[in-house]
Amino acid sequence: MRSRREGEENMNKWKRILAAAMTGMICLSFTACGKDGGENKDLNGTKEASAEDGEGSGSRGRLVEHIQDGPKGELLDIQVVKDGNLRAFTSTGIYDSPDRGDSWKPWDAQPKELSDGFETSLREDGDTGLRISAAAIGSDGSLFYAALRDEAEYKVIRPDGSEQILNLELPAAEPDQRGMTALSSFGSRIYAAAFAENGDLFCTDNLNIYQIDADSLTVKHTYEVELTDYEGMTGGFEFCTSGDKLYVIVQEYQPQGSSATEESGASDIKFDIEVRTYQTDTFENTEDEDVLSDFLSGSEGGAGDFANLTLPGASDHALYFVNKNGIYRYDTQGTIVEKIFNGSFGQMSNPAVMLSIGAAQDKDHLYLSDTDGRIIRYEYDPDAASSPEKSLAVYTLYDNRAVRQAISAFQTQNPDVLVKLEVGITGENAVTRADALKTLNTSIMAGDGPDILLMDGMPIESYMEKGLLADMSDVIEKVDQSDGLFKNILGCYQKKGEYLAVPTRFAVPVLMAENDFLSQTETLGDLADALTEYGQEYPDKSTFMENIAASNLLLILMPASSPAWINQDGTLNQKALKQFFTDAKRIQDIRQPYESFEYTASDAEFFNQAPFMTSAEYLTTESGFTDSEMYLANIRRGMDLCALISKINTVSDGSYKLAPGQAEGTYIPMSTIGISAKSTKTELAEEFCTFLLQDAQDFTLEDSWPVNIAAFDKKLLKPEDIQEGMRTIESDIGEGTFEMEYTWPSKEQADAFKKLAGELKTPAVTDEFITRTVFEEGTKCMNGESSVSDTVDKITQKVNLYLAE
Amino acid sequence: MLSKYTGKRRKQAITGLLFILPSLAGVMVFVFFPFLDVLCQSFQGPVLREWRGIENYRILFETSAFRLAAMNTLRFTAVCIPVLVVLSLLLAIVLQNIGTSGRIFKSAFLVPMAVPVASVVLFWRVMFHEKGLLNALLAKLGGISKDWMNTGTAFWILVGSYIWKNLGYDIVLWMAGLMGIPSAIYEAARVDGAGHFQCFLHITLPNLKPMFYTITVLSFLNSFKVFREGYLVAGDYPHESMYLLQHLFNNWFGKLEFDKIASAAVLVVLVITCLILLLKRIWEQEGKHR
Repeated sequence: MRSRREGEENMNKWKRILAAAMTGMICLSFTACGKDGGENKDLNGTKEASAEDGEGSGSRGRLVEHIQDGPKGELLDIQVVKDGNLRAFTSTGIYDSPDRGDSWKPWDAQPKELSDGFETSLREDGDTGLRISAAAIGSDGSLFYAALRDEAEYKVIRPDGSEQILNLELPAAEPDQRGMTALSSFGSRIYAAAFAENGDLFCTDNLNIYQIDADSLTVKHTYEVELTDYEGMTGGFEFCTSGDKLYVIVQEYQPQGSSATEESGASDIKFDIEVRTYQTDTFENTEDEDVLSDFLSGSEGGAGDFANLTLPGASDHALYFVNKNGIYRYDTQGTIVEKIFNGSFGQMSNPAVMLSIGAAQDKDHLYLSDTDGRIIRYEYDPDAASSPEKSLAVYTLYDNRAVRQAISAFQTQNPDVLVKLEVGITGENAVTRADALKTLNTSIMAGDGPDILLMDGMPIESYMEKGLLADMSDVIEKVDQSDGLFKNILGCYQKKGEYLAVPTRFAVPVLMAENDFLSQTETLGDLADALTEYGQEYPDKSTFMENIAASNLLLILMPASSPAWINQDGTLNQKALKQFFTDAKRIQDIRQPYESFEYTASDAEFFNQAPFMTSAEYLTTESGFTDSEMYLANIRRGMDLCALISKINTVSDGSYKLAPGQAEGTYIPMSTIGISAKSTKTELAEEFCTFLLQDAQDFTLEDSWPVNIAAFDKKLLKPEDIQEGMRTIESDIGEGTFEMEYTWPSKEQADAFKKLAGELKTPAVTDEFITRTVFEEGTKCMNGESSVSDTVDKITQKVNLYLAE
Repeated sequence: MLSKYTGKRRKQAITGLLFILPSLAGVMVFVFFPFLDVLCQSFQGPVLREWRGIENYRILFETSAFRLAAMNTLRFTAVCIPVLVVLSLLLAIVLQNIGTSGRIFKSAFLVPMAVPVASVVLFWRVMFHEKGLLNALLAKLGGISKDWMNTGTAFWILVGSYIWKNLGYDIVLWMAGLMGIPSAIYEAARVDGAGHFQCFLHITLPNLKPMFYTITVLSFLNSFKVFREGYLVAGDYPHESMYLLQHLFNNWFGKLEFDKIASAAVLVVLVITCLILLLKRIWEQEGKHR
């Protein structure tokens, strides 16, 4: 009995211990729940040298960007010379800067043929001027250039100005893909060159790399670069030197997966990067740089396609790579690729900036230039905060180059602000629009949402109703007072006097035809009637936009009628929708398209291409191929208006007016922005929105009309690079050509258009669910796969459910 | 609670509590407390969480989409549960009486549960699409083809899919219940002259009542899973007849309608709880009468 009791007590004791241990394990598992998933991870040997996220981490010291104008002309090379100065080789001569690029003066000892100026593009027949295909500057100030007149001449200019001719016999040019040697980029001349540290010159004709002795200017060695041909596509290479090594970065096309066949599209092909190294004294191929190869092949390194600008480091045995992600440094005596500058802070992330040439002195002093001739200097500032003190989160559903340009410009103006752009649908994963919106909403509810929303494709009305968006009236008033705003456009989302969501751009749907025709068409039904009559009167002539697909026509017809489809109470107006499709089908049936060409891109891709495919410039071209004298189109920018006016000039008594539809005075609001009501950085957010409504309205990547009146007026001014006059245009998909004289709109025409823009009053429906449903079902109707009533029933069923929620 | 226990029983009670504490903690943290937050949110605005009282509930009942989804869900449940329960019971009885080959058929009925949702969806598309197999067959037989998934038949396809998928599961549960009935009772009844139907009515059914409660509750909970197939085939906005509450919740999530989601979720929990408590009460009353 006693032992049994002892046994039970022992059992109970063990049960208690077991229970306590299990409780402890559960508690321990809760400690794994934390906010950070781990930052600053090593990615293929890459490490972050500076903090990216977070505000004002407290640490100091980073590279700071300074932008200044470069010397005149197209920049071919720039180098830091031994006395610490900068030397630049441009199409107007050689320039030196003693103050790190702040000022430039011509080099006294340069050859006259350089200071007289030259071209860098290919020679045309009969042209006898000097052309230079390659140029390089050495660290001692020596120059090399490949001059093309009747024959190629390779010259080396020493620091004292003395000139030497380099005798170089190159293999004959290889024909390009079209079998033409004249345009070949392989063989027959030097395309790139660079001086090594020991003074030797390395140059390439894209077939081999030649090492030229510094003193005798004879070929020391020829490095043959083997490239693998993949289905007629040959890769390429570039090179640089550091210390006593030559680095050849070879890029080749590789099939991706087993599905790569001749019929495979480009998406089945990727780039493979390999970095081969050679000793410049013994000419031997040493071990390849796998770490560098992996970096350049990866997303961090630009994923191939020569996404990097390569800068050999002058004094620190390093190589520098610049891409949109930032500046990376590879110590040739180590195995790490280090990120020394975050691209988000600099011009490299600005899609409007194309970097061309650069030079690195050491990791604290680097220089880049862009195709606009600016010099961008990066200098280490020990007092600069390693990450900006303030940050702003901007969310956009679809990637937007114009927004990236705006962000880059805003950061340049405000270096103490980091603007983080989050893109919902990047296209690199399988995220759908619904998934992206749910992720966004989750982060908003968790308190981690963005400060600013770019709401194209989002449920704007819903966000407004839920109180997610803050009032932007102060911003609107401020910009209106300084520059003027199209309040008729801005007011499309105005509720109870508050501007909760504001479109920053817009487009105008118009119809171009003879005045007689225009006078008969007030509604979509009128247009159908007038086209029927026209078709009967001129049976041999092209009637209406026959060169575009039915789905494309639907996209163009929708904006001017869509406002009529939604009743005041938010339900769908079935009658209006039915009438729309009846008229649209009549217009479709009148056409006699000779190209039965429907896009095979996914609907998402088609919608993304819609702005281009409905623009007046594009449709003017298409109408030219069919000799049609009338078409519908959206005027989104100056070139659209130019194309439209130019077309009108070819038609007797031609003109244009707002597109007829089921609503009047319609416009398409675009690039809508809003400030999150949950944001704690309202002031900064308003500053950014003010920037978007002012400075950013002038930006080149924005290809629709600005709501800022001052910027709108600028867009109507004739651009400097516009090519007016007769143009011959060939069709890419069909046959034939046509000629048309392009004339920029006169002041009167521009004023007329501005007046039209000021009178627009009805925004087109931009709710993506509604437009996409109408488009998807409507395309079947237009192609005769579904009747009008069936189409309307299907749309009604889906959209009513959507609206009823 | 522990104070009423003394000595050894107290120790046993503490030990028992310690054993269930981890699981209880998990349920509290991941289910109970979040539900309390949802309950609070059902009286507040979606973004700024300002107090709204019962405004959300009023708006909910005025939302036609909610009414439609609720009606469809109720209709679906009212059709599927009885059919599934009765059909699975009858099949279980048949399988039990077949003998050893019944085991093979039982396994066969379980196979649909193992079929991945994506495969089921693919099958739906191939069969019921406008240009699918069913329409091709009908065309050959001279019938009229139609878009099955965009008409009222979509509801019945959903019902069919649910029953097909869950039949095996319920059969297994019924068979477990049937095996728990002592055969001596049947023998005694036969000795008294009872026939098959009388045995079924007066012996089988009463003994299966505890299992009936379990199966009904589990089938009801499984009925919510049919949303996966419906969503994958027909997307966010299917035909009206198969527009369920989960479609609505899913779509509301994308529109930031968290106030409506919270209030609808509270209502759904209330309804389900009442239903289960009602069933439990009926079962307990039956037990008392016996």
